[in-house]
Amino acid sequence: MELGESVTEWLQLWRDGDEQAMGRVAELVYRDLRRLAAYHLNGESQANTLQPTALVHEAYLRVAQIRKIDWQDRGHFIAMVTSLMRRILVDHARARKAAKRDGSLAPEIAASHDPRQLDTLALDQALERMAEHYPRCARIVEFRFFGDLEFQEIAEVMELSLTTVEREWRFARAWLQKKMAGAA
Amino acid sequence: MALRARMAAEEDGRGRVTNTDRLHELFAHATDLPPERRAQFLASACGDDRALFDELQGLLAADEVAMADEAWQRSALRNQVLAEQHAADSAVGEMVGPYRLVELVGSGGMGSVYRAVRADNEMEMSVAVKLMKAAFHSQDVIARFRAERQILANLQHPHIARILDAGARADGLPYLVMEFVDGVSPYEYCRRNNFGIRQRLGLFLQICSAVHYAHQNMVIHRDLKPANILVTAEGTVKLLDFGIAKMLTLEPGAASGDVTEPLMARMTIRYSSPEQVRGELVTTASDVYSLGVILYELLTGHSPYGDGERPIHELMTAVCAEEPVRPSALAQGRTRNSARPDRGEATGGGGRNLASTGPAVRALKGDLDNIILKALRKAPGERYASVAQFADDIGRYLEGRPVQARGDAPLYLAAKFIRRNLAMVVAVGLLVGSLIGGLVEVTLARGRAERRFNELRQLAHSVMFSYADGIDRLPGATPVRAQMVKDALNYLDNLSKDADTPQLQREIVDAYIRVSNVQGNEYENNLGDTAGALASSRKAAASAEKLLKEDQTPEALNSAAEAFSTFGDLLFSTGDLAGTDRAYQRSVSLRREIAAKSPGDLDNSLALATCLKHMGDLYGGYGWSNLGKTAEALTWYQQSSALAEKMAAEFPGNIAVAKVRFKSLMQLSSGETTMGLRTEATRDLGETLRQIESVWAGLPEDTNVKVELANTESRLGQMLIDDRDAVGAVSHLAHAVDLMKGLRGADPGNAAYRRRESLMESQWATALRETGRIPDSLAHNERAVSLAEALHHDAPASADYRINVGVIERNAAEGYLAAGDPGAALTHARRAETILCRDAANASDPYMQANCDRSLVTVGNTHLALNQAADAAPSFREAEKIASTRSQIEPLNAIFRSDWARAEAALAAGLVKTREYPEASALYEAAVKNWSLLRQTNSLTAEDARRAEDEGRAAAAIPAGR
Repeated sequence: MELGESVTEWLQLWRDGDEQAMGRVAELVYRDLRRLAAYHLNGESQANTLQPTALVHEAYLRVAQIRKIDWQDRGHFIAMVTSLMRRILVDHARARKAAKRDGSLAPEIAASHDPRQLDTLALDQALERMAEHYPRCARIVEFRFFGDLEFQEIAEVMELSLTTVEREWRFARAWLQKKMAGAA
Repeated sequence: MALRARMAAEEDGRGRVTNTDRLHELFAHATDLPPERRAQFLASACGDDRALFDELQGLLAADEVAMADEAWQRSALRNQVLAEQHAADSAVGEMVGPYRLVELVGSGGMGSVYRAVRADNEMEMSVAVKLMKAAFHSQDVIARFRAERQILANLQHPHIARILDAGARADGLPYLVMEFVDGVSPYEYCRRNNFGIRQRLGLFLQICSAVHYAHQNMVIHRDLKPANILVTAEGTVKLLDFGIAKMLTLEPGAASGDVTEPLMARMTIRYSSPEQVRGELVTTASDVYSLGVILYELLTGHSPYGDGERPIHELMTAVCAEEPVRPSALAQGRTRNSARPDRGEATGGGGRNLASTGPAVRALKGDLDNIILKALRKAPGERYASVAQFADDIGRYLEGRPVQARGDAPLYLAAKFIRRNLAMVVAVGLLVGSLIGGLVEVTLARGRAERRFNELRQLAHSVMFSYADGIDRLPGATPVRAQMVKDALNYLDNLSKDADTPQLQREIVDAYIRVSNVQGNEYENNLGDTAGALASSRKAAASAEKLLKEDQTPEALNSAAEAFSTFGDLLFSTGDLAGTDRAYQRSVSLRREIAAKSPGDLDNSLALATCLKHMGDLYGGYGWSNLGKTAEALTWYQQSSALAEKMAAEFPGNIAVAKVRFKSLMQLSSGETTMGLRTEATRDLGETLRQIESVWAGLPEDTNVKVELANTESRLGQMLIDDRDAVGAVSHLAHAVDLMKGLRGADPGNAAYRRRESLMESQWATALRETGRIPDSLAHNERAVSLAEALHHDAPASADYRINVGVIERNAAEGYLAAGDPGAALTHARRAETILCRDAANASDPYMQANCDRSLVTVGNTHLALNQAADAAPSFREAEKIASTRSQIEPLNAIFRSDWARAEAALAAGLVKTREYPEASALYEAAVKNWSLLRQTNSLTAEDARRAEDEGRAAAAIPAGR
């Protein structure tokens, strides 16, 4: 499908589970994501500071004017989008890793694995394992790490108290940290 | 401490099992405690469970590590973004071609800019090297660079930063080498030097000359913005990045010849023209627009679309649909944000500090306003045709001569832009409905008292119409659709209070009709909100009455006719037959008036033919509630068909005409059937089939045609059953079901299709039964029942679908009777009776009555088959009573008479079983008499003829001795 074709059709296909449509939407969504990231970094926003959370807000929450949708749909929507983003980011990380291995990635990009960052792929795998035992925790992590939601928003979407969300997060973080460190 | 029961278990590294829930809970408790108390807690909580203890300790340790680790603070997205930033920073010192990167000068969406020097001669002047991000598909970018490089390299102009070189590094990253410009942004420059309006304009003209030159050389900048404009200390303007945007792409394999905007290249929405935002064709006019924005900001200190941060989708919508505040208006404090001019954040981007230009702004009133706004028109065709013209007008202003830009031109917000804009904006967002709702909100909130009201009203209408068209196809969009309808109705209700001109009044009528259609018109294939649709159509009709008082033009008559006919449709579906009659009559007479005034109006004639057909349905259409005036119904159908024939003769190839023609003919045939004019009915139905097949041949994918074809096949099937040609019937019905299955497969949510399919399966079962293929016929009965029950289950509020179940169950009962399984038959028959006789007392609804008495006959027959003659009798009596009443009300209705005769014969048979011979004889006589009447009027079906024979024999077999 080309840009400009009816998005309603995309949505229909997507809802019907058409994998290709999902892929196409994912592609475009990722591009938008990048564009929005650049937009924020590019001096269009205040004082050149990084505001990636605003980014996710923009692209997926406010752009859809979530407030106009009722709660049930909103949660579902955010969940959909978050898992989409997870897929995209993980795919991208995987691609970079492959490119790094076969040398097609620019050295300074390759070298740019900032120790201040978590390894997306490792996290994704650990998260899969965690989901087997602690599904709720896994969802929270997904929302936070891939969806970039604030705790309060996660609480609203998952209909939990803020305290519960924070507690679950803490546990999940420890668990994942332990898992990833063990695997390293 | 309450410990939870064991649930899922988790293996630890040593293969032993620990309890996951417990782990979670203990961890939570432990972390609530201060660190020094934890060890103790762990020991006591874990007791002997060494595995648990180790596990927990490990988690607590990890918790400490994670808490201190900044990495956990960041999401994947942020990491991504940081990685790129890092990459940019770390490139300093590296080689790019023959150049060495000395320092990072700026970082942007496309890549980073460095100051660099030639490695072999450090004394040479610096250049600017723009290193692209790896995100862009290098191969394609490089290919494009090569294609464009020559063109760009030829741009030699004092105000354009020269491109010196372009290429790709060994690792594939593309780069550009440009003249290094040491300067500041235009705003900064003007601020530092305290430029007034004339001086700013002078600077701006430099910019224009550069852009103009490029245009002459076939290069469009595409990304004009202050960040791409530098002014040196000497006051020389230098433009950067000409045409670069075109070269960058994220699409693999994108060709260099593409003229539309590569999606990611353009980052700066604030300066983008509407067509760029929408991803459409980019022309020199797009650069004119961007220049307009720059000038606006240069002179007023504010952004045309508000200075604060706006969410991107809003900004995009604003660029495409919002009119910028007149520059001079900003001086009087009527800014969108009511901002003080020199607020620190009043930048619109990049941290620039726009000068406060309070006094200067007042000078903008008049010509300058118009010049700027002309450049900012949404429609490219309405801007300055070229940068040269733009510059010329500014020149004229500076010289005090009259300018070309006109003020007070109605700002034309073309509906089509908005429609397409919605698609584009949605392409960035994901959910159609809420965005559109938002746009309507934006529209309604603005522009009340201004002279722009008319344009905005048109805009709102076009928004409603355009998305009404799409919204029906959105699955699961119900909350959104409801919101949309609410918005639209709210808007219309308010608007109709103010409606003062006939034109506006007419638009209101049309709009109410549209909304009603969205809510759910009976003739559309959706369940819809009938009550809501009725209410809206009522408003449409009321508005139409108002309109007709003022306006009798054909357009007004047309809108009114449409309103009444829509209203009538909905009244019909809710059972208000008298109301329907009134509404349809109005519509018909209005359309006749229009036909008199404009005889050549094809659309009107078609609408009239359709309306006449609906009148026929109302008066005596078979298959739904009607007025019970069979003969009049036939007249209406005849008029409809005659008109359609006339149209077909005048417009032979016209598909719309062909469709109306076969639909009218089909109804005519049904009217003839009802009146017992079997020869005519057969002929016309056959002709209908022929016509539909011919249309279908030309439009094989047209679903409406397919539906009508299926309907026709189904009716033909029924007719053949009546004619005792069951074999013929089978093939038609098989085809009908097949078509319907296909339609349903393509549109599974469509309730009307499901209903039809169930009915056709049931008919097919009947035909098979008549050919003696009992097991097959039962299979189809079962299938029909299953479909009908499922539909009823999905839409329990619908009377139609409930009745459908009843009709189908009855036929299933008949099937089981024929199969010799009266036990099963009874179950189905009882169910049918329960449903169909529920409202049987409704004397004015012959359709329901027919269903009821038939189901009673079936119940009775089932009892007879079970040798329960005593139980059969009450059902038969009831059936006979209902059927006779009905037939006597409509004596000309052949179908009703036939029903009556069958009911009499059934009762007679029952009475024979209970040995009430005299009465039985009398009833047989009556039945035979009815059949004779039918025969005399040539209305006797072959099926009925057979029955007449059978019952005659049965009558003769009654023991004598009355």
